[in-house]
Amino acid sequence: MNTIIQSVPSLANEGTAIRTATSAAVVEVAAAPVGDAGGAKVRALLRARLGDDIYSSWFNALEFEAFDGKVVRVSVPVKFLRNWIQSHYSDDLLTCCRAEFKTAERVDVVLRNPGGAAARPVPVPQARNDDDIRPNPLSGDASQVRPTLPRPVSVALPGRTTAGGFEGSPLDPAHTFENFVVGASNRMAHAAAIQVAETVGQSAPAFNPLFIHSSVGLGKTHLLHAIAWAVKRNAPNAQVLYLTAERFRYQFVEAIRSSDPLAFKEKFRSVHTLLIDDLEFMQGEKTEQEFDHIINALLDGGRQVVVASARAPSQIERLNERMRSRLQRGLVTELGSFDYELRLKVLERRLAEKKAISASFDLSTEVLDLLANRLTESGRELEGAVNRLFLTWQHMRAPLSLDIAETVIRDLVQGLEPRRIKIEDILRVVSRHYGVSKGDLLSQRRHRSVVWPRQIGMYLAKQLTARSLPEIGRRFGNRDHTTVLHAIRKIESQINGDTRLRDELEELKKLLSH
Amino acid sequence: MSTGSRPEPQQLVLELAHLPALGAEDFLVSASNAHAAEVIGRWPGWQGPALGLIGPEGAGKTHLANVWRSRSGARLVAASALGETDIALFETARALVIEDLDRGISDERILFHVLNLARERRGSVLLTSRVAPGELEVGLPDSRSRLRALPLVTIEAPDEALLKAVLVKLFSDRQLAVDPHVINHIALHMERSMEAASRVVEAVDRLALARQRKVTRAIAAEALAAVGRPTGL
Repeated sequence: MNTIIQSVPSLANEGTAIRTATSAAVVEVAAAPVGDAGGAKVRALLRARLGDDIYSSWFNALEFEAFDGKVVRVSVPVKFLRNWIQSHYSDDLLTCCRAEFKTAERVDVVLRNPGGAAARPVPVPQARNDDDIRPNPLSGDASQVRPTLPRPVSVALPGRTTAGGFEGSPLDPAHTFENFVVGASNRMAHAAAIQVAETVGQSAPAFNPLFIHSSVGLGKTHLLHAIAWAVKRNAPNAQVLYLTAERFRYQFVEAIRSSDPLAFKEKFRSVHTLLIDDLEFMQGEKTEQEFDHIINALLDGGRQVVVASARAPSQIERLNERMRSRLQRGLVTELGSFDYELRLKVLERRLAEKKAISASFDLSTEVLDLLANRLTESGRELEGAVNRLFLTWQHMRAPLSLDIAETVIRDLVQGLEPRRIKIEDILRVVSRHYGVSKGDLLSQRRHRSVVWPRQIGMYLAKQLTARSLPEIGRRFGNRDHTTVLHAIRKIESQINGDTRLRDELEELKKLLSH
Repeated sequence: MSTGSRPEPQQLVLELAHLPALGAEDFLVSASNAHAAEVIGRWPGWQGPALGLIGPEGAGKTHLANVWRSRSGARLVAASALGETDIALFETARALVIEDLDRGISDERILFHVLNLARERRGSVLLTSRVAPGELEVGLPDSRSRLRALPLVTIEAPDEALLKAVLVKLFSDRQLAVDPHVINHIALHMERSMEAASRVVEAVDRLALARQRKVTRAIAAEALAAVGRPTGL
């Protein structure tokens, strides 16, 4: 736990124990530390004498540090508070102190240091270890003003892949297959990634290339890292290289600048498994050409290539036809948006990770349900929400109610709404998805191949727009509102038992949100 | 005391730049900013590479960010001025304050790369904004999702106790001793923001200097009138 030290008014009861402990360790030997309850009587007297207002403005941050029989030492965290108390309230302070410290002749107000310790008569050199005591930024300790680089805190350093003299982009140690939460929407991509990791080095790679695409925050990078970790573990000698497109571009540009680009290409010859992340950020004509050459050479040589991107190969305009078809030749698989169950599983995983940090942290079923229901955008968002709630909980130290959770994520939920979806969009997406014309959707045709998409469209219109039932009916070929109601009920009744329908609706919603 | 019923000869006041004490030891904590100060103060023990600091105008976001900068050596850049060089500089400094997300992000791609770099290189980024990330319009999905996933700390408009303490601090920066009842009066009648506090204190200082008087409630009232009552926020 960490403490606030420069509290002006009404806070910081929490840190008292630690603060006292720290001060006790550093006060001069001659003076006896004042215990936890020390000064309580003085405080009460001060409050009575000066009034609540003045007391809470200037004395709340006062701490009793030591008493040596003559001098009471009190501390405040800020220089001017010290000056202020000295110039305005010395007499009051001494009078009140005598009630508790009978023989007091003087009160010294000193400036307090980080961790709550009083100004130290003797500096404690190099005693601080960042891992043990986190220095407080609010301290006036001059030694802390010098810039320090952030240091890793008790977490393993990210690993890196290296091959052919290249240093890959860093791998997150948490991104392993074991940590990947599997659900309906990502099962296939997950299985394919595992296959690839297991067959590296074999004469016939499972899927080559493996192309994983999805919108942001659904686990592409996680899967790529997981493949790299698994390959490194299974075949320590295999040359596996993980590069973001950005890093590929950077290193290529460097190669052109410093030596000859041929060497750059040469380096990839030793790579057995190449993992390229964020393909959509591959930019620059020369870079793209070089990328094409390298991918072709690797694939021709039977080396494994895995590519992740926000879009499917067919959707990436910059790709030339040959590269596009090459990338589609192996397996193209999508990480779909998470359904409710997967979102819940991800939340539970994130919760467990936080519990490992603070065992008493918890989120109720209701709160998890709220998050899983409302935060549909990405897995990253779910992680972020748990992070937010964790910080809130650390602040409050009380179970998080549904109301509080709602407040904490309110902006994320509102954020979904402004991207207003129009009925026109729904008609377009539904007609394209089911291969029926918009005219058919609006017509009086009652063939099943048309009725079902129409009902789906009406259901989505009710779910995603603020339109009334009559209005939806009107926009779907001048139908009665009871027809719309019937459609909605029909879809709703089938959703529960039908995962494929659920996935289909998720898919459509995703298409609509882009 | 009269507040100037007859025109008084104004003493010429020279603009002598005084140094606002913006250092760590001058940062005041109250209930309104304690949690934010504490969480940011855990650095380098933050739980992730980036942290959002959300609070209304004048709550003291910049001061708090500066306190962190003094420890971390972080550079500061306005979100509206993010450029390619910030990536290169971040590679070496590995600590950065990106200020005022809500006032526009010049290049969302760079924001995305900086946040990625922070994760990859164990850097730290503190992002400030007046509104929560979900309320920001961000076009690039990669940046959008990263901003929405930020752990957040919020800082409120200063409460009265903090305001009073800040006023005293600002006066003391200017070597002015002001009676508590005057401080109370100002705190009660001013807009609740750090900026307003410094505007009022400056006005009081100028008036007191011009009149060659100590700071009285009348002077304070006049200064308050001069800098304006709470503006429509």
